[in-house]
Amino acid sequence: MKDSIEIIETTKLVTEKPVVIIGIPDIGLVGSIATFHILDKLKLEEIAHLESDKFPPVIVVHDKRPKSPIRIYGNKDILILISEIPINSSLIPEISRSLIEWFKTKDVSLVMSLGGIAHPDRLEIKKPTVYGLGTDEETDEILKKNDINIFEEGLIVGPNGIIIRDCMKNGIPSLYLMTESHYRYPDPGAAASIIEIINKILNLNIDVRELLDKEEEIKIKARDLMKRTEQSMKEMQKIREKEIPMMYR
Amino acid sequence: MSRKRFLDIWEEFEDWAWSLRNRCLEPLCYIEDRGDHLLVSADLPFVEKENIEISLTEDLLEINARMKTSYRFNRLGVVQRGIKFESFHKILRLPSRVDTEKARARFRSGILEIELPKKIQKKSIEID
Repeated sequence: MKDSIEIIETTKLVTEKPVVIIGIPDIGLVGSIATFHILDKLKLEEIAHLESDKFPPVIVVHDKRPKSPIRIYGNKDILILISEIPINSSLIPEISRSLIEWFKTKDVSLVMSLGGIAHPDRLEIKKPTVYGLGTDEETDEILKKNDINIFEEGLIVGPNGIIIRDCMKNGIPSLYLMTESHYRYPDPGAAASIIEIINKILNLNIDVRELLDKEEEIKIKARDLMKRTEQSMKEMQKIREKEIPMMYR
Repeated sequence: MSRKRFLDIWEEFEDWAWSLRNRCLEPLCYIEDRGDHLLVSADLPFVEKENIEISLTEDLLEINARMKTSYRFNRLGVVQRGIKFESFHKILRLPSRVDTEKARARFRSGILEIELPKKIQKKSIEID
């Protein structure tokens, strides 16, 4: 019985201080849409998946084969974590701890979690703005160098917040990139904005045109995951991100 | 809309986000209570404003929207694979009675928003 969360490597990959990009279902499915697009464009291979008896009894089928819904793709420079199911809040701390231990074995140089910030006037916004939260001077410098608006005060609810906190505790430089997004509707436009920032940070050239051209198709395909994610966000009180924390100084 | 028809459609959509019989998808759709009014929104990709029909009673809202091009799940799923979906359909039971005469709707970037002022019956209370 696997009470703990295991990361099973299906391909032995030699990495060279890779950057990790995390796309877990959240507001507007921004992280999920962005990471699916990146791994498709970079043609990354599946290298590992997460397993635990605590996970819901769900497998996904792709290319005629059963797969774990939480998987890692990558090459020697970039590792991408995707999840095709929302992550239950009770599992977040354990998943985060397992990931951090695995990142240490891979000598990860930077972790970037991708997410959305619900914007009430998203329909009025043509080009969503991306905000960033760093965990140390090195990541602050990345934000500054790439003219990324800094998220200075607020609340973060859900897996992305816990993962960057655990990265910070373990001395792994980490960034949480958030973009203005629809709350309950899949938002490929917001995902495109965040990929453009990743292009700048990692000096990549991932084309986002297809993401924008296929916006309507993506929204139809992402409908069921968005519905499940909305239920999960309700359970973890995601709405609290709209609150302003009381200053302590 | 008759009660029976409403319940038939309600049952059909209860567990599924699509109907094979009617070749329609259920849109993502939410109701927000904004005090004096309800704001209903629905995500309707592949739809143009001219092809949306909204029917309203004091406590039920029905949205029918025809897609400009049908959509087929070529590889995804089993029973829905290969089926051409041509429209969206949703019936919502409203949490408050609304003033049907004052309802307004707009459609921007594939998202339909319907503002439904609540029917508020105010009664003055005398103080003893």
